[in-house]
Amino acid sequence: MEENELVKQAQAGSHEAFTMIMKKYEQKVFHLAYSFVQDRAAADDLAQEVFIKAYFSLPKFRFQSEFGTWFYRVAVNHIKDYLRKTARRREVSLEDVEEGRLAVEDKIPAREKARADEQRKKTVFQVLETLPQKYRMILTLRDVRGLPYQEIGQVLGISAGTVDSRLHRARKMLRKKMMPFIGQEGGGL
Amino acid sequence: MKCKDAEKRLLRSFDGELEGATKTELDSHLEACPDCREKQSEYNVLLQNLKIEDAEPLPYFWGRLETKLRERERVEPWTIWARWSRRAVPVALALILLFIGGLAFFSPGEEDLSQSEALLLRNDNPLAETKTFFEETRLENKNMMIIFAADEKVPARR
Repeated sequence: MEENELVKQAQAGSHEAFTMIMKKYEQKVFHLAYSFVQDRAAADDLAQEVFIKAYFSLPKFRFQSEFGTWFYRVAVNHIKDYLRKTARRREVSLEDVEEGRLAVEDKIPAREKARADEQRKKTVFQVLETLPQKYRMILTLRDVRGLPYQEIGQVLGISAGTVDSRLHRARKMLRKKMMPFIGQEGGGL
Repeated sequence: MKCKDAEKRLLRSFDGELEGATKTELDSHLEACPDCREKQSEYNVLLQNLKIEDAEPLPYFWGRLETKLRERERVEPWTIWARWSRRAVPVALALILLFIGGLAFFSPGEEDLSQSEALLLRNDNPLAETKTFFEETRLENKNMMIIFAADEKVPARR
């Protein structure tokens, strides 16, 4: 059955239709949430809230865009709200970022290298958290999730040109903020 | 090429949007400029570190979600109305339109009444005015009465 037909049935109150549509988006929404919080339990909670929000907002969907775009927008807006609330609770600053040199050393045992890789990722994501929300959002959608420009534009309600300029500004900002963590040894990050 | 322009192109190159002459120009600049080369390697590592392995939702995702939905629906019964209203509103509008249409179709139209019907309807004495006319003795008054009587119209509708 076509997605729009299922959506109509779900709007008329069919739980079965709603479950069928949502199962299609389960992974996508969970991965999106996970990209922002990097914690399985938190991402699971966040994804469930997104589905609940979509369920109650479903009557408002007027078929003026693709259902998938509308649903992704609901998810992104909910995640934005969540980040805003959690940011208020815990102000993240660069001082909170764990000291971890990002220099890649060649002659270290595999286990240590894996730990260093993990720490490096953690540092990058901690610094990412300190960026203004719109830059964090676009970097996560593009560089973490790998969404195409067009889809990012539709989800955030901005033009492809704005996606381009905002993304480049965000990458520059992230690099600048990462400078204190850039290792001197090895001549790079 | 200036380093500032090189950085712009470099950032664009990460999205695979650079080709042809612009790419060649950037490559030659990078070859000649150690600062930009370093920048390129920093961006590369940064973007590489932004890639994460996808995790899976916790077990019983749908079972837990369905329980939450049932609980919320009990708390927010208006949502059931919201779903039904999508059908109820157009149906109610159609019924109202049908009722108005029926009223317009079945109500009798207006028709002109005959003079006798108008008099009967208003319970008028048809000779009352004629009597005063015949009783009038002055000729000029009589003429005036004739003029006014001619101007009078009897708007009466069934």
